[in-house]
Amino acid sequence: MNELLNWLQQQKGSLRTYVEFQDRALALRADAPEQAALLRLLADLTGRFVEAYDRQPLSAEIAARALDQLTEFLGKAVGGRTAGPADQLALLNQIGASELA
Amino acid sequence: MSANETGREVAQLLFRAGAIHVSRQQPFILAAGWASPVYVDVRLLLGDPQLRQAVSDLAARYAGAAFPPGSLDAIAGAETAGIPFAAWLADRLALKLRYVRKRPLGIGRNAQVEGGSVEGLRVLLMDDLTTDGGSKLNFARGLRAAGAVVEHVLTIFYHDAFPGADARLREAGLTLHALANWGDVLRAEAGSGLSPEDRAEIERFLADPVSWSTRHGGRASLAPRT
Repeated sequence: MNELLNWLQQQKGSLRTYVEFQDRALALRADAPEQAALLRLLADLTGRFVEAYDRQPLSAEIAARALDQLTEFLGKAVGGRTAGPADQLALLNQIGASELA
Repeated sequence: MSANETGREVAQLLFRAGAIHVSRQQPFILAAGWASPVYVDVRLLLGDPQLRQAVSDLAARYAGAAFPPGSLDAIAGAETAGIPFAAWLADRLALKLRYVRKRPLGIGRNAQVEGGSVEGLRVLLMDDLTTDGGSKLNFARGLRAAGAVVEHVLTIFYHDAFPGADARLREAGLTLHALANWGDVLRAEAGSGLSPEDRAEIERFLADPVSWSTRHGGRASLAPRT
């Protein structure tokens, strides 16, 4: 998860960032099964963003906002790994109810 | 018809379709991460019968000149926007039609290809747009995995501002053919409705696209990244 966050923080937030993020998140489930639900939700979130902007004009403003949002979700997940079940569930629900940008 | 004439005609069709978007204040972030003041929505050619017939005629004329009779067996449209262009071209050239998905669906060698087997077929890959060639490599891989012989890619527009696509595709054994590029757009500009300010911004961008991208928050080098 830390590695995924570090990688994400170095990206520019083009559509390929999200395509690769999706692949990385889904692959990471094997190494971090305790985070599988979170990773699946993040992968779905980024997948919906890719579908929405595939071959559509992606403005720098929207790209930056989406990247900030995704980074914040992942940062919360990394920082909250020792949080109680209620807080972890709240984060899952927040991601589940969100769309990027 | 020369390549320049084809390019100029396609560029004029793109202007008529309203497909050339210029944003001087808020740049676009292209799929490969580059910032750009221009975005070309080739799909707008699909909706108008006159424009799509005209671009299909130009594509057929180009393909007829570039590929000797009998040298191709099928046209494969790249999901999504490449599919209708491929269908019209296949119709005009009386060739088989397939389409290739962005990602495999299901299992097996044909997981990325629809419309029938491509085993042993000489296939022309068709898409609406090329920027850095990354998605074309993916489509060609999918077709080759299914047994197709893929040596050529045809796109309506080549966003040729950023270097590297030609070389990247050549390394993979692919020749890129584009009906139009930025040079054609600028040559076709008279009467297109492009304002002097927009034209000046496009010229500034094209003079040094990597610096322009860097200054506007986009990718800053040619090194592979997302």
